[in-house]
Amino acid sequence: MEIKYTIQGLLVYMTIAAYLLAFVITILRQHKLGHIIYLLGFAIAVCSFGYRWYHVRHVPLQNLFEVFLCLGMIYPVSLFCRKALRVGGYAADMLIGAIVLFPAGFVFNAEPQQLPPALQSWLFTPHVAVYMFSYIFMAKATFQAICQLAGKNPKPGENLLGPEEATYRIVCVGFPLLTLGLILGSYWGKQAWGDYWGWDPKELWSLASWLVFLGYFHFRYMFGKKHPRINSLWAIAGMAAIIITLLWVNLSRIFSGLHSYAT
Amino acid sequence: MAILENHSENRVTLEDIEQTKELPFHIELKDFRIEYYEPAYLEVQTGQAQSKKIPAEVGGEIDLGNELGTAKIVRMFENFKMAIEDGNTIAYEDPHPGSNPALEVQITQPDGQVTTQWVFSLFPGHSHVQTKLQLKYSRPAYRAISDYVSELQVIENDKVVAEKDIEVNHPLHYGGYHFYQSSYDDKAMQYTILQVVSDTGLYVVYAGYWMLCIGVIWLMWLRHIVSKFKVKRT
Repeated sequence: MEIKYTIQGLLVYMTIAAYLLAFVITILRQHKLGHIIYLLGFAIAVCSFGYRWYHVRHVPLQNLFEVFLCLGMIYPVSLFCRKALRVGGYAADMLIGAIVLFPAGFVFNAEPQQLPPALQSWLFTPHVAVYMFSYIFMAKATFQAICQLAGKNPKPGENLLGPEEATYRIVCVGFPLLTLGLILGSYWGKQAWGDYWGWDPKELWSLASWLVFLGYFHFRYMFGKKHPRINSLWAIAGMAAIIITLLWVNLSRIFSGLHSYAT
Repeated sequence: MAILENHSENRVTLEDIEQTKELPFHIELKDFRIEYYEPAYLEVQTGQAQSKKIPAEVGGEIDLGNELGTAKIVRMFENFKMAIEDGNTIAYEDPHPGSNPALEVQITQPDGQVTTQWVFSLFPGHSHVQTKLQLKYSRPAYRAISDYVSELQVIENDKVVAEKDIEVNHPLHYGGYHFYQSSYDDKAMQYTILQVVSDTGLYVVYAGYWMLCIGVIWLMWLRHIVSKFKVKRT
């Protein structure tokens, strides 16, 4: 735990503050004002990511600090889900944004690093970016799943889907991205090391989370009508596997492998 | 497979079993090198508060002007050691662990007199010969590696048929075999280790990748978008 007394750190803290403020105001039913502050927070998050990009002079998706900085730019995802999928959860998104930026601001090392030889490939950006997108979608899906388990439904006037249907839709958006990430990673492994699969811990856990979501689809198709609450449990289990993939594998000393670049 | 610098090789050691197999062609290693983000320099003081510097590479040359002649880097050492044989001092690369980076610099004076001098990065100013020149080998103690490069030539029937400098992420493909930069001689950088893979079924795997991606995108994205448009039309 350390406070970053840099411009980068300041930008991160300002984003967190804006997201939290927007969250509180939205909870207090001032939706319009909340939305404006959320948008402001997003603008600061974009500046913060752009500043990092300029500072390190390569696409800043190399270590956990940079990845979480990227995850903090969540606003377009909430907008897309609201407009295209009829799924709400703005307040939850503000909180997700703040939670995601917290480790970037207080835990992870922000020391700029040069790209090691293995990461110098055109596949670096798409492989990581696709995963980031899918993780944000899956986090939103998990929130909807929790809503369903807690019995919270959107108000009739809002023109939003019920939480079970909403979970399914968001997972539908996120899953192909998860698949692409896995396959791009495998193709990259072939290019760099001559192996498309190395049973590296991160590979293993990303496959595990992919399989859990695959299980979600199969279960929902077969028994979803009879046991709708179990559908949501599948989605939450998938998110748990993603958290292990994203964090535990990198931070724990039990696992060491090709992906242990980012501590 | 392991190849020594300036040697060619066609034997590969098979995985798991201690057996070797011969490729139908030879691979020659012209040079193996590690490239860094922060370069190392040879700096020569040419006058009062005046100096010239060049990147530390074998073959690098500095023109020191009409009075002093030229300085040329002829050899680089990672772990410099000296020995005396028959009364002559001989410098050599010690393959044992340790670090004593040094450059062998050849100074050619305008009158044609050639002297050789060693320059050490760990001992700046230390010199075994008296010269007017102040030479400095500056390199950071820790440098981030930017590339591992093996300059390879494929030799078939005594002719060079292909050439490529391979790096991580940039393998060589020749005659149905892929050659990947895998490891290297971390002490003296005299050899490189390549991973050799022959996979004829690779395109089947890639076809599977495409099918999986297209299938998933169709099922979860396009199918819904298409059906939405159909609903709108009717």
